[in-house]
Amino acid sequence: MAQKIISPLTRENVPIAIQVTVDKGVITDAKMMARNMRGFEYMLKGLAPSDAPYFTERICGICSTAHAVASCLALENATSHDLTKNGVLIRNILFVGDILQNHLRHFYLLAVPDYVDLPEKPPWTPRNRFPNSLPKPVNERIVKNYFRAFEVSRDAHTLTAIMGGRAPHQWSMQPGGATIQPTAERIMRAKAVVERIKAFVTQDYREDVEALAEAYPEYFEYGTRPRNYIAYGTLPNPDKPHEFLQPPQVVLEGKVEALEVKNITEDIRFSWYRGKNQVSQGPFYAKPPEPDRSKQEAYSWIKAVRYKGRACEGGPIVRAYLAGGYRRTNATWDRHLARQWEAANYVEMVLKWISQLKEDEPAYNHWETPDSARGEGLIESMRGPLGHWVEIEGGRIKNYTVITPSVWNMGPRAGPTDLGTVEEALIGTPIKDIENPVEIGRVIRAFDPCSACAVHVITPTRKLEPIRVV
Amino acid sequence: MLTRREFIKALMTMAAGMSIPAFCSELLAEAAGKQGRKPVVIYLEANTCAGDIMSLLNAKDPSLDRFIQETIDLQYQTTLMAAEGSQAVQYMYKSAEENWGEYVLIVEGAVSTRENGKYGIIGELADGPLTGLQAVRDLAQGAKYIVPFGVCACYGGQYATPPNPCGAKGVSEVIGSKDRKKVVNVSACPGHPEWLVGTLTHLFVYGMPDLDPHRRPKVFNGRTVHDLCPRRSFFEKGIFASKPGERGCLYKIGCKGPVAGCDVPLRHWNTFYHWQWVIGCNVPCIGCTEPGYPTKMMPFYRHLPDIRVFGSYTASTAVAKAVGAGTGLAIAGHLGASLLSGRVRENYRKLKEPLPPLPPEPTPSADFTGKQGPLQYEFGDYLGEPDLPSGIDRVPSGPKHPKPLFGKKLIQKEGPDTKASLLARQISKKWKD
Ligand code: SF4
Ligand code: SF4
Repeated sequence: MAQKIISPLTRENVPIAIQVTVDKGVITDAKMMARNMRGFEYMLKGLAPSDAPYFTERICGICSTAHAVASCLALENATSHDLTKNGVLIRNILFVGDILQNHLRHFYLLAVPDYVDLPEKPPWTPRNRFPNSLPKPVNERIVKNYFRAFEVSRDAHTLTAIMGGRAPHQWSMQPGGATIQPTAERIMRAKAVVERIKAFVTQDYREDVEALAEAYPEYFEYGTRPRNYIAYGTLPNPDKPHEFLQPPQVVLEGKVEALEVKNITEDIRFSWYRGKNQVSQGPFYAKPPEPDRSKQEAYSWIKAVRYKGRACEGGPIVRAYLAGGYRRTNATWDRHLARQWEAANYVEMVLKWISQLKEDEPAYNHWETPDSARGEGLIESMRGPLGHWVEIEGGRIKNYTVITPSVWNMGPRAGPTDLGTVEEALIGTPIKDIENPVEIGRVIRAFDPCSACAVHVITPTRKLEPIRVV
Repeated sequence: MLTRREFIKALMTMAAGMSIPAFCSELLAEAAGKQGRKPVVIYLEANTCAGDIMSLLNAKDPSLDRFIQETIDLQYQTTLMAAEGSQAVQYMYKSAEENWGEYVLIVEGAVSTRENGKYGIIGELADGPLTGLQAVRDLAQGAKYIVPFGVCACYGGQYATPPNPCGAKGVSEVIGSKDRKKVVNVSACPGHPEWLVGTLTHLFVYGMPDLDPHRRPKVFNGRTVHDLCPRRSFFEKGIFASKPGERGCLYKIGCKGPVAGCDVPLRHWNTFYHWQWVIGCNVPCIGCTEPGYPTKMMPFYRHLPDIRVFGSYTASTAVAKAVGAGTGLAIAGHLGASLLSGRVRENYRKLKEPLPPLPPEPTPSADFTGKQGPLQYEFGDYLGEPDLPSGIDRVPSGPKHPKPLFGKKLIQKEGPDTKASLLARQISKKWKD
């Protein structure tokens, strides 16, 4: 039996650590350890609510727009604020620009180096050595596309910047809509940029995932886990701003049902918080529990979030499943294929939305800070379900809770047999060479992991003990 | 080769809607040819949102892929590198050793100092976890120059917002006084890719650039947003926006342009279209380049309560004429003073309820030990240990992960077939047979 800890697990946004136990060449236990913390929710206490979108954007640099959307939705929900169609369209377009950027960067820059031979120089060496089963010309094509993806993903981000003024950390999305007008110039430039990346997203991206899948078919099996899925609403509907294009739903053991926030719980048994079985239940307007860095058996700053007691997965695979676009199992390649399916779909959708923009109609409906209110903003971000809960009192933020997709996907266990999502997926994966455990990275990276957004929730109140990792 | 003067002039005048990396990489290549090797760069990610590397990935002409392939020798960058785990960290140290005294250390993200850095662990070494604090202090010693990239790395930024749970600090605050002399801050949130490329070029080709008091290159941060703002004439005429989304000077709804040293009004972001910056989107500048951002800049939409002059300062041209440009500057100075003292946010808080006690201000010292006592402030009562909410069973029914499942996991077949799922099925069948 061998134990191995990989830290940093690079090529993911903000490195996370993973500890696996390998017995007879197969992973028998896995722990996702998030060991960087920031404590956003306590920083937000006492701030002006209208600062929340910009502030929470900084939780994550790769999906900043998602936090802005969720935060705006929460604030608008608090006052039942109405949006204009133009406002929703602009926000959707700039959000989708960020999603496309994320999917492209995720697949090419973060996942592809696990499968192909890149140039033999830093930062691509040193690396795990693995038998490369790609034919040489295919390897060359994918490497070429790897480098092209730098530019294409930048162009996708440009779409966000055309509507949002900047990417990452956009400007124009505000509670109340968007503060820019869709001028002819903006519409034209937005269209041009989408047209430019369309072929790459719908064809090259697809061909590359398929080619890799063909060369490494065992990953149609590695990484599977029970089909417990969760999705909040996918993008607000421009025609009915209070509804989503795809409603919030969960899949439990393969059965689809409507989502109810009260079934979401957060458990801290294996997280660095004081208390043993403390469970908080949605909607999350209460204060978070106190941290306890010296807690025995805890190993992560992330809390274990569950829906009806089950660890659920979020992300493109769930949205593709609910939309009927891609419904095979949830192995490594399925996650990649579903992500590509979604990206290709978004390209079509965003072109439609751009053509619906009206130059002479308002996009912004000013939002006034209420004195006291509560609001909930749930949205599907690139990586899955993202929820913001805000409680306003005396015109200021009293409590702010964020539960991110990576809390769903990268969280720890809630009980000895009740594992976190990625942990479930890792168990059973064979490791050929413990010195070059490429399999671990391949399985985890298909989730598009990101610990930046997962660990933001706490504040320390007592002295910490140094970490011991066996 | 350009002289330094010409170079600086080019950086400043090419700002308007053009990209500088193109001529910078040429200069760098030229210099590299003379020195016989490409400049070595180690890019460390401390406690960060990864926004700065995403921003750098948005660099134009050349894009980052060409820049790292052709112009610089990027040894370590966790978002892009192929290595992982201890292999990566060991390589970082090895590379630093081999290039001791030569490399440029770029740091992204704040350094967590609470409990000697235990809140920000960035890797694993043979003898235990490696904290971001340790890595920064180690690598700083061998660096020729240190370039904190993004406001968090420069001054603590976002994560240093009270109560500063992880003890976030800027790089300069955690390294020795000797190393501090090598620091050039490339600020903003996220850092501007052009500023980083321009700064690197200056460092490699001409050495240390002229710095402002906050150790930022004067060429990028020497002028305020207010000085360069295309809406300055609105300000002078007293035409103010009353809510976001309106044309006009955004001063009254909280613009921090007068205290933000930043040439973005000329340079813009991403593809450099003229609206691609904050005021171009009709929202007030949040002063993201400044030390103390965001704490001292919040509320972002609150115009600064200390400035009485606005009581009589109405949106009429006549008044504006009387007030004149000189007053504009005076206001800026006043605003600066009140921002720097952090009074804005305090006043705002005071309006509502007594301030929670802030954590003690860090006292930077030459030999920073990273020691910090237990936290002074207490947030949140412990909620007790309630049972599971009714109607929720924690562990799903049925056996769960008793033993390794591989080989027994079922491929579930369901749902309409798409081209992709058909293909997937084919491939996996082929493999199984
Ligand atoms: S206050 Fe802001 S918007 Fe007004 S002129 Fe100055 S920088 Fe521009
Ligand atoms: S917010 Fe202000 S300081 Fe920050 S980049 Fe924009 S103009 Fe510059």
